[in-house]
Amino acid sequence: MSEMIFREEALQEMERIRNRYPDKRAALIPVLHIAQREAGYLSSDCKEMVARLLDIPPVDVEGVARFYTMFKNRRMGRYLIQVCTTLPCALMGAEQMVDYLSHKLNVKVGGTTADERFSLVTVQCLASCGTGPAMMINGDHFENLTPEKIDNILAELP
Amino acid sequence: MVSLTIDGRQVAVDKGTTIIKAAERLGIYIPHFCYHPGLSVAANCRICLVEVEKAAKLQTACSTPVAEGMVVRTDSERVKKARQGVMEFLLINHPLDCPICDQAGECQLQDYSYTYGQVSCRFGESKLHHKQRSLGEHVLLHPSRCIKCTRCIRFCQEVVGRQELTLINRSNHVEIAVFDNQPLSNDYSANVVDLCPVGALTLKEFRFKERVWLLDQAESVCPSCSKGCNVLLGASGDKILRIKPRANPAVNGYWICDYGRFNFHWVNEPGRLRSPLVKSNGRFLPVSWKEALDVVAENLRRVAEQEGPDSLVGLGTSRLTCEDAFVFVRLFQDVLMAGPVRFPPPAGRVSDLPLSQDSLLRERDNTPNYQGVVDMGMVPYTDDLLGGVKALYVAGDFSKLPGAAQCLNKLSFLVVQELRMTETAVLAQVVLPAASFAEKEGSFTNSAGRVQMVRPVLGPLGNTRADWEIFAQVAKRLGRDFGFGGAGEVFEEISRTVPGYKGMDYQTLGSLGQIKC
Amino acid sequence: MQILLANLDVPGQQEIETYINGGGYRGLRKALAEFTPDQLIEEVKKSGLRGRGGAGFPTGLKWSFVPKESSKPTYLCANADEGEPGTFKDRVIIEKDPHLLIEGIIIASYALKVKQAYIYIRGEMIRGAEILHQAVNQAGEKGFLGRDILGSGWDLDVLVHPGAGAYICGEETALLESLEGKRGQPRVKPPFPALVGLYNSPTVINNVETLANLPAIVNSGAAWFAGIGTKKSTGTKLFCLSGHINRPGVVELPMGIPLRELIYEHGGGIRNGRELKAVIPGGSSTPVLKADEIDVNMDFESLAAAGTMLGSGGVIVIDGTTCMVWALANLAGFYAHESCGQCTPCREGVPWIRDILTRLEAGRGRADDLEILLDVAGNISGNTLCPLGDAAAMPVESFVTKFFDEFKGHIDGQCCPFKAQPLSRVASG
Repeated sequence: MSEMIFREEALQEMERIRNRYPDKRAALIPVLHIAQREAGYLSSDCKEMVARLLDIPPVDVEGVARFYTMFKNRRMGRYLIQVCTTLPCALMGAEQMVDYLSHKLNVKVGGTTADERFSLVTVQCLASCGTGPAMMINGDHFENLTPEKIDNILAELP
Repeated sequence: MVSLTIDGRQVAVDKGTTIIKAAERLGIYIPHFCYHPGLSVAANCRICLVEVEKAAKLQTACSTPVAEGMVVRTDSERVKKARQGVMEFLLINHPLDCPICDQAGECQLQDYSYTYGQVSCRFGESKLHHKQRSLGEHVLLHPSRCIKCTRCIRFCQEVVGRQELTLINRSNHVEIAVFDNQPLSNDYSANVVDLCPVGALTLKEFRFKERVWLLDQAESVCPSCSKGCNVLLGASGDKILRIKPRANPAVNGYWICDYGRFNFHWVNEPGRLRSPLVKSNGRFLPVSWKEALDVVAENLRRVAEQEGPDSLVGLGTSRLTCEDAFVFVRLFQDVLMAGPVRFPPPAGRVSDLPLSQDSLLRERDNTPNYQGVVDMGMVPYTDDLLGGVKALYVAGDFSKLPGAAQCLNKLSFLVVQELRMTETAVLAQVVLPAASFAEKEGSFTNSAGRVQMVRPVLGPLGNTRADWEIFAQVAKRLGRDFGFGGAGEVFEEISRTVPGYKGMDYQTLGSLGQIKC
Repeated sequence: MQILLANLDVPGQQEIETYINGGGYRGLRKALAEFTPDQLIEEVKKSGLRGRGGAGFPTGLKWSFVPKESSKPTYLCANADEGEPGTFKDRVIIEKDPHLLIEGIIIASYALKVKQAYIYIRGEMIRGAEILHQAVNQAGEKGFLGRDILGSGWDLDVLVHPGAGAYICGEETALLESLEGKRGQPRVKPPFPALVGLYNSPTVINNVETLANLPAIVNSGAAWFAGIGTKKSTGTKLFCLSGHINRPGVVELPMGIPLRELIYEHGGGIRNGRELKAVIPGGSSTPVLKADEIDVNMDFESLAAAGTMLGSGGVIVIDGTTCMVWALANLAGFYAHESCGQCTPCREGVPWIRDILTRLEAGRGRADDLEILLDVAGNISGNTLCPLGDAAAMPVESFVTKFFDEFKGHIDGQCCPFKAQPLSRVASG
């Protein structure tokens, strides 16, 4: 029944991935990525469905979904802005970028804007240390950030 | 075999043995939280770190296998410093709520902090705090007290085979959790409470009932099925407050099922019989033992003389101890010269009903001593045997047996020896109050033929007596004094006369019992 | 000397045709034609190649731990979980020259008789994973992957597997757990992955940069490779320059290059003409060097002798305007966030360190804070289940010891002296 939460193509994609592994549960992380892409976040229904697909206990999915920072267990804004604040980026002013974003979007770190368009979080190293400050918006990297550059990036989002 | 030195002492152990087990062989205790002999090795608590010569880092004794010529120090300054560090780490986010924590008194963290910890606390930051929450019918979780040893998770996964618990989050935000508020509901769930080395998991049924150091405790055997799981009874006043598993690798490992753990309320029941009763004008009147036993002996003698000894039938149960059954059989066969004592075969042995049974511990026969009462000479009941019966001595409940009603109506004398007023007892002329397994000494023989001792945790309730003692007193009034001064003496007689029990006594049975030969 | 970055900026280098035109997959052909698997392991041993992920373990030796006879398959995992702060070299290879990695994986798999290899790539490297997917497909179309590779009778499948945000998965046993679909909690060792790894089978885990060196080693020979760098640290190294440096980025230089030369010549010196204060030479967990300690060569032995480590080659440059308490608090925050929470000293100790440092930086230091910091770091160090505890403790010990006065000043003055210039940390040029 809760299979209904995923499109048929997404289900097929999950099954295809599952079949690439000698042990079904090894597909858990890639399958959760798809589930999250489809549903926006990992609801209990999502986790249960994934557990059934991979033939593992739902509590196992829960433990994994709550270990990795990319997995979201609650609804987030349409654009998830993740600003790296680890030392190399911080040396380049990452904290000021966070403050700038927080002020510009009128949202606290960890929060979502009232219109649910943006969620702002800080994250650890994105392997962009030579091009910091850096951030990701959904799947895309943005580097060498300045307030002006942030203005432009946000302005161009659909 | 591999030889090694631990704290200057030599020991030889099997290849593959871990340091913690090798040390145990020498009587050297290495502190541990996450290690448990019944579970896989997690090596996460780090309190068992020891110094191994030639190894740069301290090694966890729970996970490090011994090697030939290995030299281990469990008490060096380096080890002590590391332990002290681990203790400090475990305590920084642990609430210091021992005075209101139910685990106090049997808390490893509390005990170790005296032995391995340091006096002062130098943690000056704010502690993390989480609210307590229910983890199912029996178990309460206090996340703030949890030291994340993962014993509970591993137990459900490895022993029960049902993963119901997990860790969530990371770093010091790690917590034990279920999925989507689903209750912890496996049939062994309460074992996680025993496994928990701290007060993170407590038992709803026991919490705040009694401080553990005030409990009366006795090593005994679970009476709820024929597996004979070893248990520790905990009582206060005249009530059992809890039953915990007691390790016996040959029987139950380290666990008991929830059914057995919580099946003791019949002992505590307020309606328990406390005095012998004799029926007079259709009403039971409390009488002295002397009076009641006289009535029983008189009537048994009368019926035997009038109707012949074959008209006397003794009916027991496989819940009686070996000692009870032995004296019961002697009373009927040697004193009354009647036939063997019968007992109703437990449901699990006669039908294919889907009774509770599992591949871990629980057996279909929900009585503890089928093998024992058979060994003592009791014979499974068949209804045609009760055709010509005129006097019936029932130790147990008879009412649910086929043919019972018909038989009971035709009796000239009925005596019932029981814990409570049963449907059968209501029909009796005499009702004798018996002691429960928690109030007497004795032995049960489990389905594998292991003879194990039950020991009293409660004093006698009112005027109750052990079944064997009552049978012996009836025998005495019928002219035969067995001279048993206690259950131990009955057992000595058993070991002299019952095949398979030769050479056993309460000493040799000890804590873990002995397989009959 | 460019082994890894030689073709980095060739247009279309991600495409297999371009890669082949630049000499790509020649190493693979040569490996299959001229070496038995065992000979290949010997060749890699002779090259002196050491793991580029941080520990510097000899690659050929690591390979030789895999049992020759096993009823179970052997697996190879390319560790592309690059997450050590200050390190971004693998990402450059993956995104710009992916076939270099793929070819390295195929060569290593041949040496180890692997039929299934995985590339465990950081979940955040979404673009990198797409590029690798495409590269794997292209290699399959050309017959470098799949069945009967180049007529050798040997089959190999490579699967790109994403992580999902956990620094700890760079630790090889955590990586295996994660690859098996579990929480990335490191395993108790022994057993080591070479014997009991992925799906309980023998497994080798090699860093991306390590694997990317293999085509050149096969093409040009072990002796050639061993002639580059120093005697014990052979070959080149990808150094990642970040922080207050004029030309941040990845540079490839022979092992043993002086750190001063790396910073001032290849990195163009300190930004805005400021003075150098400190350098973290090998990724965030390696002990920091003060400005007067940079006359050291960048190879495993020399850095160890200087009390620090080559690590993953992430050189983080810190200028004189930076508060070292603030910098260390930041790093402690990283490790506290990334501790998997499994073992006690790391789970409890690292956040404790972060909390003390945060308080110190906020001007609420206490007299015994530094003593506690060092002692707590000492209680973590060496006592944890995996190296993350050590990684978190090492910077604490080195920062506090080497910049003791600055730390003590925060306590004595009950403030951060650098806070007076809040913009000092913003890049302005």
